[in-house]
Amino acid sequence: MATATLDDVAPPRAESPARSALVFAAAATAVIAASCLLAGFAPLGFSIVTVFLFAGPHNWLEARYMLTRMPARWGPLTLYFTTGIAGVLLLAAGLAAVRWLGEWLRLDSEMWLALYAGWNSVFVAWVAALALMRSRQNPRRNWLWIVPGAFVLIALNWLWPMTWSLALVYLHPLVALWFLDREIGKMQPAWRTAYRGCLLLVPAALGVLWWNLASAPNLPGNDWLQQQITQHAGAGILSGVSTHLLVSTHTFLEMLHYGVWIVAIPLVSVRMTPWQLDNVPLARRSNAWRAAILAAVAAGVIVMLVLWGGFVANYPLTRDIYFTVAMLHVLAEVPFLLRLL
Amino acid sequence: MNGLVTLTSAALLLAWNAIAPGNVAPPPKKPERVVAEVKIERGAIKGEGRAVQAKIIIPKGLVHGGAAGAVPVVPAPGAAPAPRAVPAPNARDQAGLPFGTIIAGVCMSLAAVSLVFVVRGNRGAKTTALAIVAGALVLGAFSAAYADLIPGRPNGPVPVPAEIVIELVDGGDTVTLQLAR
Repeated sequence: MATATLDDVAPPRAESPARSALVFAAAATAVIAASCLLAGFAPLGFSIVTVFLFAGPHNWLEARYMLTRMPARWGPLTLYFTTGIAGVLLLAAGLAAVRWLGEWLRLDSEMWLALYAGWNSVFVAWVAALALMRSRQNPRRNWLWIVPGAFVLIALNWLWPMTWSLALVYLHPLVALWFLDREIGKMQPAWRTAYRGCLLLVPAALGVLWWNLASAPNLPGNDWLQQQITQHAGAGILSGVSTHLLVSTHTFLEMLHYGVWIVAIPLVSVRMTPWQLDNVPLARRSNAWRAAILAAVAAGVIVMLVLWGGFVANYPLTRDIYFTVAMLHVLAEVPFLLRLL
Repeated sequence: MNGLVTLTSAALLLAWNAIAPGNVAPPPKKPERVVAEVKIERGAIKGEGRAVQAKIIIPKGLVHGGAAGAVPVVPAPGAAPAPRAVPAPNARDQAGLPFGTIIAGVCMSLAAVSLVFVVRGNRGAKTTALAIVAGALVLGAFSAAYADLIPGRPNGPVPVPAEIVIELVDGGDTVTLQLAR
């Protein structure tokens, strides 16, 4: 069967490794600089446009990447993947239930906090359990320190549950950069030095944003959409910090996250169009599996189109629902990242 | 026949123009500054806590054009419906979780106990653990030194922050200012 891979269209592999690394570094630098500028000057507009354009595609391509990393037969990894998938589904459903039932039952703030803190505790316990299971797989690691670390994190969470949740919001975009680092190390080692050099630009760009926006006035306006965006970035939790600064910082990191999942990972790791399943181990099990995975990929396209339709029809409501359901992909990253370490 | 149609059309056109929204007079501009008569009362403020040093009672008619509530959320034109009725808790609320400190304490204890198992038999980890314990002791001593529990330090009563109560009432056109002393 003839297959057209991204190698055919992407020049880096055809060129010398040094030259392709330079092209990659130049592109990464341009994306970081442009994202920083747009996030700083037009934080709300940039946030609205990036979520509209990239939220759906990045989830689709991320799911496609995970298919390439999921073994065809789990064997001794059965417990690991079962715990991973069950945790993703239960924790995502749990968070949605906390939000929707909380609003429906009109819970008071104490109950809200207790539920959020409880969810965060289960999340930490789940990550710690997965990490301990991973440490017993090849290559073996001595990760016993994760147990006291997890208890400390749970303790901090019960003292400041909202701040802890906000930390997750800001850390999640950075996880994509970690994924990319591991994938470059495996698939394009010649790019690693250039990539890590570009990573230094991220704190530099954050420094530029904070330097310029530390004393900026809050963003004007107070409609539902703006409240969503500013609260998502931490307004109300980090009181006293300019909402302009918060939204700019969050939008900048989100854009990098989208760039990694939509451009960099497919280029470095998947190296195939999403509907070609030659590198999906599960698709090699049988024709039925191949058809099922193809159907799942097609369903992803439909979900993406529905999401765009929802954004056009009612952007704030769709955004609200999206960020609740999107917890699925945040959680799904954990077992796959641990497997890469 | 044509004349009748033309006459009817002209009448309808004129009638429609009379009710066209564009011809409705613009709403009166809300005053940005309101001057009202004030009544000042000195003495104990009934029904409030000790921290309350003043209370101001404002007739609703003097603020927000008489609308009830403190600060209504007005969606911008074309914006989605109002935000959720029950707001998510904020930073100020999170300090109020009553059993949070207890659970945090239990978790920190479990962290300390589990740390023992991690460092057991590991020389490098033992050194690290000792450094952490030493750091914790120094931090603890520093905290104690700056706490108000050391004998000899002035341990006066905790100052109660002064508060003002703002109350909106339905009737009247006079603002009442009550002062505790």
